[in-house]
Amino acid sequence: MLSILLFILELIIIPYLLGVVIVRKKDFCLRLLIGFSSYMALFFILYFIGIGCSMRLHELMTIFMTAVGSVIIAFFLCRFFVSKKNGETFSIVSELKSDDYSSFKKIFMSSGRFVKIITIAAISLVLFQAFRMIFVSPYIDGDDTTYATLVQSMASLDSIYTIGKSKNGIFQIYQLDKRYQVSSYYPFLAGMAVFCRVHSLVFLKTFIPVLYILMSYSVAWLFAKLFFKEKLEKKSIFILILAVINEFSFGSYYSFGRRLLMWTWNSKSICFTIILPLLLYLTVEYFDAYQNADNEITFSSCFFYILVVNTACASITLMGTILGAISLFILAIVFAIQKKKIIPALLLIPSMLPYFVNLLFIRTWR
Amino acid sequence: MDHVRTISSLFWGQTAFFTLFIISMLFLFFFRKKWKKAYETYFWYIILLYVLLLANPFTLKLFLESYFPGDAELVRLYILLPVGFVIAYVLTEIASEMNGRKKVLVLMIFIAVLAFSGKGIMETGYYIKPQSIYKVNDDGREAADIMQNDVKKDIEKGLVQADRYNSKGEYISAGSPVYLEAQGPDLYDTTRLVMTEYSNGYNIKGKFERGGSYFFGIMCYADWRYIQASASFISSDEYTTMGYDSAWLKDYYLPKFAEYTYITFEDGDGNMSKGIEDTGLYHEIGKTSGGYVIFKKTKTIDTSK
Repeated sequence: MLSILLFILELIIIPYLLGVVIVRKKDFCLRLLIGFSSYMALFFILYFIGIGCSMRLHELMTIFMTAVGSVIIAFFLCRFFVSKKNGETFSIVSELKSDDYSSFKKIFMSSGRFVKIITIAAISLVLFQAFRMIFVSPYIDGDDTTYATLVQSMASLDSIYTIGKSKNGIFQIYQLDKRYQVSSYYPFLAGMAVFCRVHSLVFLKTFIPVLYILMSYSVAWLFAKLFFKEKLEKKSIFILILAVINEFSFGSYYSFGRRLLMWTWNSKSICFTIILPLLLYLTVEYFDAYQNADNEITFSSCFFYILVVNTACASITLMGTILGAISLFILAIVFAIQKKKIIPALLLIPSMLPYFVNLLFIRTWR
Repeated sequence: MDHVRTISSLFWGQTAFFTLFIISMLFLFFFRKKWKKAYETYFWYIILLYVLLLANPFTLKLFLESYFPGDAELVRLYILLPVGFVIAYVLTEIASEMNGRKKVLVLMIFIAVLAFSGKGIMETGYYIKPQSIYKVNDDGREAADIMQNDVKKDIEKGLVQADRYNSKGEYISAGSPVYLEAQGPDLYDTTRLVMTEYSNGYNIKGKFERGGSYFFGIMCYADWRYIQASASFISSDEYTTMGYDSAWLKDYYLPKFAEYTYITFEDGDGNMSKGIEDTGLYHEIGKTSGGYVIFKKTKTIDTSK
């Protein structure tokens, strides 16, 4: 029970609060996703410092959680004092409140029977897919076993090392391939498992899938809102159909559904099902914000979100780095031509800095 | 072009989703004015992805040579295709065009088409009933306990450094139940890695790096203390050469895990084989059906030569 509470705290509440700090738009899904991405991005930066300073896993986690906690507390204190100075009343509830609550309230209070049924069906199927993972054991392939072992080794040995020589009593775990060396994703999972006070296998196979599946549908919900605006019925049908597609896409070894519902915690899966679709969504918002100054998310905010998501993507092995860079490059070309705006496309280049640094690191390591 | 064809068929597999995807793209193109936002988001992004990357043999060759060693890795580029989103969007728009009962009927037809176009997770057998909270099978846990207890003994004897395992001595890597879990439907990749016993004496660079690192068909390293494998597929000769001179075995002939030391014996054909002796019977590891074997490294082999 304590582990479940700690899990909710560290992987839902704290990322959401971090999202509140970063995202001004009152959108639960966007705040959670950007918060989680910034969580991963911050860990990625600290991971390199941790390697340089020969840190143990628990030391890195302590610094990481302290940094995140300090940012959140500082933000709310600032908001409190600014509100007080302006003579406004400060309420944490209103800060945390999301427009999604009223959207769901509207569905169940004032919508027709069809919308209610479709919404309930969509939510039920998504929750079924997420919580089913608690009761089943998905078959894991050879590579994934290696990654699970890696996480388990780091958690049990209290080490962040996947590379390097024995130093101050801290030794290497595996002589890993270069593409894994600069990834902070598995140390991140190991740290989270330790923090949750739960065995890393239980964490990976039971806890994480529930969260990631819900987060993946959160990205889909962002797209639904982008395409269908206030049309609740269409949004619900979209999520329902997407959930059905995922459920029946097991004829292919590399499908979205298989990544989401089987290898959920794998680095490539999180890249495939959460990070890359989120990057696509943010790029659309980015170009919209450039064209329309009244957009709910400002242009500079969008740029920052893309930078954060790029950093999170770069933290997920070489695969994340390559695919993130390709995706953003093609999106920049497409939108520059479609919208006839070259400047925002060119401005995306600096946001790709984490990818360049990562690739440079991989090439020069050792 | 072979790579283009291979990775395309690998990605789409035995589903009709490719057809659905193409139809959805056509709908997106024909209704581009009405569905402007989705068209702007997806259509040219997907077309450009295909032109520049997925259907471009030159780019694929470049990637193949630089980062992705084979088609199985190259197919990951398809991760960039938002297949589900495009199909779901088009079907949603079409269903929403209907009114009243027609809408319900069309939606049900769409769901049925999607169900028949692919394969459900429940019918593929990839979800297994968990045998423990770790979601690994009982044999796996048994083998993990063996390794864990063995490490504890070695720590007590001073044969390995305790700080390399952990201070608690529980569920340490060597004893993690993770190793034997992959006994799913595809048993081809049977050898599983086990604990690293780091030693300065080894020079594992070169021979065991990527490209030249495939030892018994999988990527593994010279300093692993234990290796667990399926007893059906391995040949003990390969392991003894690498210094794995001790084993625990559980197979058709020996249904409980027991520790054995290899011996060399003459088999029925007059050949010298390596295996174990069990109550007067010689049993060659690798000539059995099913079961597991755990190998333990007892000798240091310099693999740099």
